[in-house]
Amino acid sequence: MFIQRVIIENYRCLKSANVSLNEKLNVIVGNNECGKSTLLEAIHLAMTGQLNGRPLLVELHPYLFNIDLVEAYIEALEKGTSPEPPRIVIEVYLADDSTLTKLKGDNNSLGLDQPGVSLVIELNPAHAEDFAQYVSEPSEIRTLPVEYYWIKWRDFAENEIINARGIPLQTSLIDASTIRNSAAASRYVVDIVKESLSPKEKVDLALSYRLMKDRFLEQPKVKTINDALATKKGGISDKVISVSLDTSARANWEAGIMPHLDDIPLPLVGKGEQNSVKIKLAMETSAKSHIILIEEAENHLSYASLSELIGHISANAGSRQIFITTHSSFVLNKLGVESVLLFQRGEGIRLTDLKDKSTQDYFMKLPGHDTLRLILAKRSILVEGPSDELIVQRAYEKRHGKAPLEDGVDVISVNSLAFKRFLEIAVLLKKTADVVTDNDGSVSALKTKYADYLGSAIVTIQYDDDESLNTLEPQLLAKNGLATVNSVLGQSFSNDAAALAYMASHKADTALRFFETSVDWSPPDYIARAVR
Amino acid sequence: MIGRLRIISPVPSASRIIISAAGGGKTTRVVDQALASDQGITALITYTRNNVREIQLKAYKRRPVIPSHVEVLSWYTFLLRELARPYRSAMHKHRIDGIHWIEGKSVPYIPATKTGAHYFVDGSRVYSDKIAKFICECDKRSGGAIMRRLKARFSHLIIDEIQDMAGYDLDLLELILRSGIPVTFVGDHRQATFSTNNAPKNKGFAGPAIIKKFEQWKKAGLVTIDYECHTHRCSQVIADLGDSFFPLEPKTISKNTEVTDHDGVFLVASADVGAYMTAYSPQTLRYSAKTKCAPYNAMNFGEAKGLTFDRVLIYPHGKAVSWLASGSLSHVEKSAAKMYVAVTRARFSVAFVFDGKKCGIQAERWAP
Repeated sequence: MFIQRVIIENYRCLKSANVSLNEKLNVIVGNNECGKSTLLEAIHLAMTGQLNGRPLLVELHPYLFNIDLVEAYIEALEKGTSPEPPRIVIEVYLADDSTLTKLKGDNNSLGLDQPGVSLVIELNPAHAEDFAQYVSEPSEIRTLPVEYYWIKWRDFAENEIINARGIPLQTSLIDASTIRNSAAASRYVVDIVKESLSPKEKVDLALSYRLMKDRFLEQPKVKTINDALATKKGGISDKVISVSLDTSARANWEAGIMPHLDDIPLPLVGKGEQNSVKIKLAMETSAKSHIILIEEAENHLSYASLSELIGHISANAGSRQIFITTHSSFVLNKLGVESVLLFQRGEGIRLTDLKDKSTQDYFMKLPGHDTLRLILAKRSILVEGPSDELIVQRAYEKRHGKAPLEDGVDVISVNSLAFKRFLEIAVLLKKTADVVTDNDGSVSALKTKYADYLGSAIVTIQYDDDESLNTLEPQLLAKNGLATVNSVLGQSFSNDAAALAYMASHKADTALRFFETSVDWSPPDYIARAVR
Repeated sequence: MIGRLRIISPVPSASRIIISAAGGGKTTRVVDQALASDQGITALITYTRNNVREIQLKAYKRRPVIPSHVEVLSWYTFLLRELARPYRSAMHKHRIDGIHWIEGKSVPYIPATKTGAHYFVDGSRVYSDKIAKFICECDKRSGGAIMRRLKARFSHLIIDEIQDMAGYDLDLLELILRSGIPVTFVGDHRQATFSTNNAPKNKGFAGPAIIKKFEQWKKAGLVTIDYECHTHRCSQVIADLGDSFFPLEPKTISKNTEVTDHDGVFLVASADVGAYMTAYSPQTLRYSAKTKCAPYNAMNFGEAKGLTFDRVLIYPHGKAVSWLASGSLSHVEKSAAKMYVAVTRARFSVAFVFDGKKCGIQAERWAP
């Protein structure tokens, strides 16, 4: 049993998302603020009806609605038009399975006949008039009046879901980052521990806990104290005072029991270890926990512990479907590039979506790091080798006053044969990429090589038209003149030919000098365009 | 055995109709059958919410909880949640929020082509007499999606009070049978005192005549029909009286051998009713609220269905008086089901308030 697709409209930062998912492992990467966590939160909400550990009805607040949408709505009202009131839709499409038939039907926005759950937050028609009154003064509206909204939580058969038990799939969200105080942390672990216990074990625990409390009173010393307290009757109150333990219903074992790790109470154990225990516990939870959502597994963990944890996750995944958001190229590498789901602009893109299967294979085999760089960067500049990389880095710094990575621009040195593969992935991911390339003495050959990308809005090929300046070194010389080059290199060549000969035979050293020098120099135009 | 040829008779249908005599303990059997099944989910479907409650109570007598592989549903809940809603988009744009209850025929002059108005009130509530029709049509238009889902959803359907099905319900049941989902129907056409709906469709099979539909299904190889002819409730004399309304049906055998000081079928003169009430405190039954009777908290025949009393005192309606006088069944042809229900409520004694001089049935005159 697994989630095949998720469709989200207007939920927080996800104005519109349609993500198809892997059956087993989904490593979700993407820029900060792109909605990775929101995606997990939305899935968890639709599958459990819970937000921040409480029923949605209690947690319903105006900021659940996409802010752009609300603003557009208010703007439209101000213009005097009558727009549709904003609504939130989360649809979770499940792979067809005989045990999920109860949730099956075609009442979903794609009209697909499969099991699934839909959660809609929309204006309650019963409050339409109140709402109309509320929006009659658009200039005074800042947020939506959620008290006029209702929640429709239904399966694809269009039957109401009363509680999460009606969904035969259990979903656990492990998000260490949102647990701020230790009480919440232990509460959370108790919940996970509880999930891993059988009903009989739970009953036994509850019974033992109650018995333990009852026995407390029978202790001779406690009895003596209570007898002494009883003699104080009248002085403080007319009633008999005694001490006991709370055995009322709310004082159940869940409130009184604290998980320990090696006899240390859990809140006192390091955050990283806590996190790792939570994840592992959720993994241990009997097969009924089918879907596990993990927020930034690497939080608070050392490299070694992370390695161990990730190993544990991949070894114990079993038939569960796992979602992990991460910024760590290590996590990505370890779990496999094939599980990567690049999440941006509400779309989830997988490498397996690449049309050219050889490119797919190439990236599957490539160490994950370079791929991740391309994925995580806002835009990338692809260069042909280490010399070009140094020049581009420095040119960028000269232009913007900071290193490209600080702006989310990654300069990636790519083997010349691999350029087209990187470009294919850039187009798939809609990641702006500039290729900085030598013309190698033939502009027409270069144009043939990059024919597919010459008109592209995503990929720009940056090169120089002058075929006599065939590589980086003549370009640098032509742009800056012999004097500047001499002073950058700390040499005193008498003519261009001598300088070029030196530069050609000391490529790396030349580039390094240009990178480190305090002498002012200008990048060739095609590089300047790339670092714009 | 190896190599020997055998002639294999056609595979008997997995679906059956069990006609169970009054007091035969059919609810108990239905519950036991559902609880015993261990493959997939069994749906236990019955007509009214009261029946649902009765079945749940029986189940709790057997087990502390109703196991998750048994779902007890009322007929309309079943129709709405499992059949009408999941693929309604093939027929209708909006969600079906609920059912609009209707006595008689809903909007008879709006043709089926106007789907919204033909089937729905306010576009959201489906008319109770047309929901089965809607489902049949919707299944057709969705390429059989409803039946495919139903088959995956339940491994077995047990439908109680089958005799109350009417109109398009019968078409729907036939559709379910043809789709290959094993169904066990339980009921007694002799107790067909009311219908799930009053659609003109299948009128010829209304009331006890529903047995003719069952016979058609049997002929088509869709079901087998079994008779459960035992009653744990009625004494043999009372069972015989009940059977007398349906002379062509198999005879009921009583398992009630308890003897009291007042067993059998009696006639009580209206002047003696008070004394009779004092002597035996029977439950009084009447055909309908229109039947004239003394104020002893009389219960209508139909209402008494499913209930058991030690003794009943029946106020016969006009036709029943003629039957009592002549013994000729032609008088009670139309009310046979209700008469059967009335008579078979009693364990020990059935008495009729009757002042006629001549009596055409086997009965003893009671005198204080």
